[in-house]
Amino acid sequence: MSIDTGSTIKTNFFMWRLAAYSGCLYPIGVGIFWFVVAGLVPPPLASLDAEAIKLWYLDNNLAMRTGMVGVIFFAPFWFVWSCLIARIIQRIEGPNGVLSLVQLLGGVCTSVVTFGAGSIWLVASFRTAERSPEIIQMLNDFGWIVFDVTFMITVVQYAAWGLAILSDKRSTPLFPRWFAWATFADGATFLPLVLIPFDLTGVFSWVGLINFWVVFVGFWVWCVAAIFCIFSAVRRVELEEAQR
Amino acid sequence: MGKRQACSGVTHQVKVPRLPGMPGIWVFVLLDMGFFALLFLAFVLGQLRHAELFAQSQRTLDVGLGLTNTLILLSSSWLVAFAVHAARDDDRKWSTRCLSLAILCGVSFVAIKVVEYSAKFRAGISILTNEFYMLYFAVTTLHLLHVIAGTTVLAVIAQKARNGGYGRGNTIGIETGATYWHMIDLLWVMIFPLFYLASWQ
Repeated sequence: MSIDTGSTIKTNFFMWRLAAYSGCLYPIGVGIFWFVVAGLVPPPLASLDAEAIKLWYLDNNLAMRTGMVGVIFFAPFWFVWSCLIARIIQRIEGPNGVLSLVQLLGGVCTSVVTFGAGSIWLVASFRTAERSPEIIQMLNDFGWIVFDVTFMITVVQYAAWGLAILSDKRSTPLFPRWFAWATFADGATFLPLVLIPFDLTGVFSWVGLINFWVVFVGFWVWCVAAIFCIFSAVRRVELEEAQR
Repeated sequence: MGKRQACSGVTHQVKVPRLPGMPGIWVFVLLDMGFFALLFLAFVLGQLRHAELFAQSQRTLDVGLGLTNTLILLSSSWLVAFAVHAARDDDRKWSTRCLSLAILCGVSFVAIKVVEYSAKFRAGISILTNEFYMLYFAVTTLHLLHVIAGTTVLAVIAQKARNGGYGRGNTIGIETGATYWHMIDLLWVMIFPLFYLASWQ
């Protein structure tokens, strides 16, 4: 069963596949520049005082500057993916749905959060020796609050995507239903990020077991599933349109 | 769902074993429980590192209210299980009734938690007091959010049950909601002894 999207114009599936491939650059590019280049595995402790954090930024200066340039560079590819996912969701809910729009806006804002936080940490790594330790600490804190506490932007994107998947009435849905539940579960791991402002030393700090390791590892593992599911959804839409 | 097989002119209903509810809910349940397992691990590590602090803080928790909530959730799980069985037997009246009582249990759980938290706040205890209370509030609040979501899910399926939306061979929806509710109950059955009772001293 297919939904009439109200368009008789042939879809450019080459562009769809291009979007699918380039969207992968977000987890790959941001991942490499965050973990390998900047070496933030894990990042410096939230409990470090101003002198200590300035020293850290001085010791890791080139790695952080290069790493953050990379994170900013690859940030837009998340919203490229979101545009493609929005089009696929439209094939599920039709042209008058809201889920595709909510998902897209969540995706755009997630890109903003990525390059926003990346820019803040880049500023902290720029002219570090000339600035006071308090300023470096404030910039480091600022970056983390922007990056982590704004998680609901991505949770709302996930919720719209997951709801769309579950509402697909096709016998073989465009996205597998288990992926909707896995997406909800990944979103659920973001909820403890509300505790970032309240925990400087424990598992809920931005380097803690729950708010760093579970969130980051969970996200990148989820990305692997997302990559496969997105490519397979594009193929299914293409087949469906060819059969019309 | 049963499949019919024709065998020398006689048809037999063959029951194909399946997990209750939508398969995807089990993906969510396993991942969610895995996440809570990590939170419990963090708590146990905290207990090992700060045994005296944790024991002292644990003594301020209201075991009576915790036990009451345990009994409430266990009862609600029994009611939900009964509602699923009633739905499978096409018993609209009892499935709706049991779900309504389970919703009442969910609301009671939330009310008791509010009372418990209020008492802590009045005593000047908050998430910032120490590591024990950080974990206590974080884990029990996360669980409380699950209870609120679960109670909402029960309300949705109760409404559908009231309108005759479930019956023999058509119980996937109610089973999915029930599975989620049982997970919430199971989590509390682990939270209560770990946070309120277990002492490493």
